[in-house]
Amino acid sequence: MTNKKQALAIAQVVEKGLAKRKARERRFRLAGLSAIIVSLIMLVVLLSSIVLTGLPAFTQTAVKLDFTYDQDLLPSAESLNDEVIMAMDFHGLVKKTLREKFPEVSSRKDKKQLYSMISSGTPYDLRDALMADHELLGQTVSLWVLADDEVDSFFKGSKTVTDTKLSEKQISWIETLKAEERIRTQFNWTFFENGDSREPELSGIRGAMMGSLFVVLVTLLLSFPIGVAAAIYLEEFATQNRWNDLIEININNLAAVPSIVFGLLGLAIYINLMGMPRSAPLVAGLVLTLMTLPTIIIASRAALKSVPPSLREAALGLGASKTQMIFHHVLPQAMPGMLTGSIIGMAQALGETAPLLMIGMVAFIVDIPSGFLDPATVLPVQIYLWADSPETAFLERTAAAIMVLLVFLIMMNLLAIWLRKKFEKRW
Amino acid sequence: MDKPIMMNEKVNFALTMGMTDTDDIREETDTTEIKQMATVGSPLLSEKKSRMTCRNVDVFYGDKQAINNVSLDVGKNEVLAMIGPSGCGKSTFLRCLNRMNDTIDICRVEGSIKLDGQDIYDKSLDVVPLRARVGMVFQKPNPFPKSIYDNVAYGPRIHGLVSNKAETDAVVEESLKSAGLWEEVKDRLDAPGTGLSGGQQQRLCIARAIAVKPEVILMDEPCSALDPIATAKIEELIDELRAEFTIAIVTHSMQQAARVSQRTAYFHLGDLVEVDKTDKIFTSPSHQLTEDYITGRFG
Amino acid sequence: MSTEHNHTFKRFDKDLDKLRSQVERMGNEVSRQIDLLLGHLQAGKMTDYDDVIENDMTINGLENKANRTVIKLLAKRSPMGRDLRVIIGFSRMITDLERVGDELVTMAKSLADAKELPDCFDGNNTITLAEMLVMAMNLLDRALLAAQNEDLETAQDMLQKSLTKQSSYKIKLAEMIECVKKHHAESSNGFHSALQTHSLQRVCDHICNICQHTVFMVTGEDVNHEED
Repeated sequence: MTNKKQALAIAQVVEKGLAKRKARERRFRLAGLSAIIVSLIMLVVLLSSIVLTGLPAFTQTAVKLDFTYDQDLLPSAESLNDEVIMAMDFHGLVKKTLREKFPEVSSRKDKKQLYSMISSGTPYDLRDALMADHELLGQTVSLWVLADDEVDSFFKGSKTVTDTKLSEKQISWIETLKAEERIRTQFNWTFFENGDSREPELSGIRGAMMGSLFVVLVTLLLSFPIGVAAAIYLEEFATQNRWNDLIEININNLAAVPSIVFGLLGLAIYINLMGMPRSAPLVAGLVLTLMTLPTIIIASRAALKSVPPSLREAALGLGASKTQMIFHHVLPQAMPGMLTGSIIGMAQALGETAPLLMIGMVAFIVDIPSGFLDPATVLPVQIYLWADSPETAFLERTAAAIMVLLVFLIMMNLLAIWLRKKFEKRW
Repeated sequence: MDKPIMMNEKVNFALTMGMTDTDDIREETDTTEIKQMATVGSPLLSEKKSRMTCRNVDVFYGDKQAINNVSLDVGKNEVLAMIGPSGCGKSTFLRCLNRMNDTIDICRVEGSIKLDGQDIYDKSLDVVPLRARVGMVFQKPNPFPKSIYDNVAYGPRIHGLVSNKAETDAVVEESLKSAGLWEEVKDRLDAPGTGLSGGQQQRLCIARAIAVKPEVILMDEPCSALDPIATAKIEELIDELRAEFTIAIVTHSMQQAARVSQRTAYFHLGDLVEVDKTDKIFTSPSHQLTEDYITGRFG
Repeated sequence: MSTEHNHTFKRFDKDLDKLRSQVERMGNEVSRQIDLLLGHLQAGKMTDYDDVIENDMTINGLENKANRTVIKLLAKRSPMGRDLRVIIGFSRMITDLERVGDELVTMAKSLADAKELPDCFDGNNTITLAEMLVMAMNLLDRALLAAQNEDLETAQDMLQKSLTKQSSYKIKLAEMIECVKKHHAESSNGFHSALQTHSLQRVCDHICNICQHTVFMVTGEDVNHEED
């Protein structure tokens, strides 16, 4: 009978302890869950704030005006060519058109306000239209032209009546245009077609995108082959001695060096010593190559190490030479890991700002770069520059540029995943 | 109980003559080249009959000696089994025969190993064609992560034995047939080699090895990772291959050695203890160490 | 060298010992069989030989058990070398012992029906059936002991001396047969006498086989001695 009592007592103790243990487990699980939830919330908050701020940048306000390519514009009875067109006074044409639209405007101050409602790039648009089609001379065309960024912000609703810089008169003119259906919002193609500009409505990220593209291209073309070759040498051919241990330690340490140091190196050696052009994608690419090489080498070495020795033995046993073994068997097997490491390295390079600032990419570049030696800027730097500007429109565009950059990074990571899956499936 | 060790002839003689002080004997025997064990049985064959001849082979891993003074012949068109407890050096010795030990930095091979009279460790000899003449099948099946076709075709391609698709097709078919795998895979030659079952993979590795038409095939415990049915199929295959190739097989299973081989060599702690006809080894071996091993008296 | 124990598989040693003791018991029973026959001969009662039959059934039972042990050993252990020879050797001995038992039963049945013994009192030669049986028993015991001890010398000695045509057993048996031919050929007892001498011959052959099996166990050689 005592046995039964003992058993019961033990069971009771276990029961009591069980409750405590279960409670502890529940608390632990709760802590983990709440950590995940908090981080997800923060992520959502971050993303949504960026998206909400940036979305308006993808639309722009345009005004429809009727422009008359008056014969008077032509100074003399000459035939039209680009040189002649360049000399024409399109600024005057714009002003004239606006005055014709709002004939009641008389005072100089008011006229100034009227003129400032249209983007300062409009005269150039008119000129380009005429250059494209000489027949326009003497005709009247209705064109949708970009509104000034203040008008744009107000019309889109980014700024309310209270905090807009527009005057009452300007607001009433906007109402008039609205009533005549001569003002609308349209998709902001300018954002993707233009380079940087002082005027927010004319600014775009095309320059920065092309710059980023060139830089990433240079980095990829240089760092992947060099990195993979170095990894193969270190892993397959180098003998185990002190020199190679030293090299290995140095490579591992390089991966942890702050990226701005590489920028300093680029400045000192590539630009000062070797005299390469400042702010060029080539130089940026060289700097970023140095930065991503350690990552690629380490990832590639790990991938090579992970190839099972049984595969190597099988190849050698058949009479393959060492090189054949490496290139026919080991390398294909290690390729997924190498590619993943490279693309992660590239994604890192895409988002680098500090070293590129060092080599001069902080300059205000308007033209779209067309080659590797043209001065350029990159997306992160563009974001940094725009973030400095006070205009609301630039605020929106900064967020929009961040969105574009994020999309690029996501696409690159997806590419890495897809490539890895493709290689894994093949074998 | 102490097991009697077969001693050097001279030492034996000296002891029977009544010299009890072994120090004297040691001085005398240090100058001879025979070190410890003299192999019992018939390790050597006539020149006509042997495909590979090994004389006084020593193998060192750094300072540690793994193989002591082994002299052994592998006969033409015979299956030679090498048995012995773990760590006795049989795999090490096998890998010397196709110079696979070259891949291990600290491994040093001394002595002479000849294939058809040619020293395979000659400095001027390229190890790559040697490995085409002496093929190897490993313990764990290791087909390439390629298609079945490419697995078998790889060897002939890199050695230049085939020059067009028709020839390659013929070699692949012939090798797969010889390995007894053709019927099972002829409809899916493009399927990955790694998708086959264990036994099929091993047969694929054998097909791959024989595609380069070697003279000798080395097998390092080829069945140890396979189930009994797959094992039986491979043993059957070894029996058939004997007509064309010379085979040296390392095995942990004495029954397998008894089933597939004509001659058996027993290794013990790096020494070659006994070599003889398989039937004799397994019914009445001459050496006590051999007897103890095959009857299971290991302790 | 005697077979050492200390297999890594302790069971193996146990199973081998079991086989050994089963064969030993069988040998003892066969010896006892001869003893029973002798007892009957001395008492002069040959009609009642049920005990001999019963003992033979015991021997047959032991044979079955021992055979099963052999099968188990072969299937489970895949024996090699000396173990293989020992097991095969004992397996063969089991058969021979069982046959000896059968021969003794035949002899007993024959003695029950016979009118007189094949004993010979012919001048110098005095050979009785009892005497022959005693000699056979001694030979059997010697052979079985040699087998249990794996005593090669004794076995070879027996094959070369005690079981050849020149051995005392064979000589005496030859004389008995001569005697039977001379004296009992005419009588109706000739049949039984012939049967009994034949049994004595067969018993000797089986003991000879046992010695050959012992030689095989130790050396692995198959020794066949010439048939008479």
